[in-house]
Amino acid sequence: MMMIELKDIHKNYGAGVGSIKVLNNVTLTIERGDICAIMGASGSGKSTLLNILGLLDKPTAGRYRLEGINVEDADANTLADLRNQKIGFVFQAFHLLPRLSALDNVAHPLLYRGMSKHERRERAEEELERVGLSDRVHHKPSELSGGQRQRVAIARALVSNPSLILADEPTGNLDSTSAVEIMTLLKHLNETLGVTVIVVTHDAAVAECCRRCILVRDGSIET
Amino acid sequence: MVASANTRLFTLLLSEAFANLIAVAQRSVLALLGIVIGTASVVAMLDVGHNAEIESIRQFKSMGTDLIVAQSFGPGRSGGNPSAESIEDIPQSTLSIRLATPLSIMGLRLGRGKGVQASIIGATASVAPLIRLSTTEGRFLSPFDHAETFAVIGAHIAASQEIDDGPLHPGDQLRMGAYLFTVIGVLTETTHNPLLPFDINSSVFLPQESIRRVSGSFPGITILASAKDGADPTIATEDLRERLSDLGYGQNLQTQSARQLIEGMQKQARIMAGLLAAISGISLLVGGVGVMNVMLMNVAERRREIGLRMALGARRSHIRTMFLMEAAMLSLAGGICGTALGVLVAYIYAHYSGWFFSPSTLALPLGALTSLGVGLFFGAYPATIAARLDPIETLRAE
Repeated sequence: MMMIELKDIHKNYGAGVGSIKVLNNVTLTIERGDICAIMGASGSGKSTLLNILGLLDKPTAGRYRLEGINVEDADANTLADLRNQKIGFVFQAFHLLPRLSALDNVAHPLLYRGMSKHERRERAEEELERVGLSDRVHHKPSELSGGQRQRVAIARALVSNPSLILADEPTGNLDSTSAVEIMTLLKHLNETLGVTVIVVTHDAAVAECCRRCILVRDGSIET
Repeated sequence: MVASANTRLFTLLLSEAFANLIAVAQRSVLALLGIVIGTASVVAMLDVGHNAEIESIRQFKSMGTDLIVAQSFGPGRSGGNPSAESIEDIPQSTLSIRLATPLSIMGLRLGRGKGVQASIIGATASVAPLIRLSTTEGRFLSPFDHAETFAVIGAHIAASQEIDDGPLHPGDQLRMGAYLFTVIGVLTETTHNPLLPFDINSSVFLPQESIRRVSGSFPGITILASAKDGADPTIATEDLRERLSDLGYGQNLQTQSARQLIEGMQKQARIMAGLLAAISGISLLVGGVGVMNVMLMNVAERRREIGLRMALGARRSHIRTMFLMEAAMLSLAGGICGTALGVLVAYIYAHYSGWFFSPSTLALPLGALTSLGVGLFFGAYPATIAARLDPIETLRAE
């Protein structure tokens, strides 16, 4: 079974004459356990593609199957549950909650599964260990370096045992050393856990770390 | 299974909401303050109204709630008033009446110069048990006093410095018109009973037959009666009217029972308390607007957090519940503090009014529940706004 199957995906913003075509006839399959980069100039539609893949946005037309599940018929609650169970997000700006410790930030997604605080923290601790931050468990994000913050965010993405990690410019806010660390970590996780990783990036060096590179130009895919 | 999972998630969201409020403690306290003041004023007004009602009834109860007062105005019947005995005998022929006594009441200024306005009351011994008169000094009128120049005086008359070199004690002389009366008793000070046409504390009780010495002629007659225990006061009043009309008091007779007056006063007090509570309810509404304001600020400031929560798998209903819980908790906390504050304010008010304080049983649940309701009502809009945010929009990196 494929991890991701996109078929004839279109995405328009607005309706009628003034509508803007952002994605045009995108067909794409990504295998389970793959690690691939999505590259493209800004405005090419790669962010929109990522939002659709992450179930945050719906295509105007076309079919999207995530692990064999047809998601275009799913209602908002099902989409939220799928995001919670199957997808881990990593953002350029980390998006950690500043008032929570690293541990509670990582534990956060499990809240929506109705897990008790104790269980959540136990799971979160495992993931922080996996990303090498066992000694930073009780630090607030403001007390961590950029690279450490992104590792907390990756731990958060992993905590729900997802089959897919979507990283949107994960190294965009980091210096080159931290960037290499983060990409190494993502690659390592892909290899050891078999989790599918998709990275949106500008950076050719980042793309080189990936097994596959998908190029988006003017809303269409060039492979 | 699903239901229990939902309850579980609800409790988790509740504790999440609590943690969120603690994180913005200063702002939460500000929102709380409006609700505290609103609830406090509602509770205080309800309590003060409740105690005012109790207080006004307490005044009556000291003299019995079975009292009926009949007054004849205008010309009495020819041939003078019926004898005191014929009135005192009414209970024997009327089942619903326990006691009845006639009074002749007139106003007179006692003492020299400005003097003191007093009610001079011609009475018989039977008035004492009816309105619970007791003496601190000397004795009350007795059936053997007939036309003696004896006087039993109220506490204020006795204490007055302006009458015949007062304070007066039994044995002292009291000048009324051309007569000198001998004080034979001083009455215990009582609370004012609005049903009686005179104030006991500034009254002078004379033997029924003696009042003619002061008044020259018989003044109009007032009949005090009390209904039997368990007798319907309305029926007792009717019976009394009937008996009095048999005795020749058919016209110009006005009757009023303590029960009627109490009911009227209670109704008035309740309307008043309701009005006060409604007015203070407006301040609670203003407090609710404060909660809405703070919650809208929270939502605006936490847009990114909301988007993140959605990306991490929160349903829109989770977001709505969380924000609604934050507003409800704020209001409930404010409601509880406000209720306590309101009771305290009412207690202080009652204390300085010399009232006996009993908290209104309605005020406590009402204060807490209305504040919770206000929180949910004014929290609904910000929570809906939060739940409708678009995660893509809020998470876009700047």
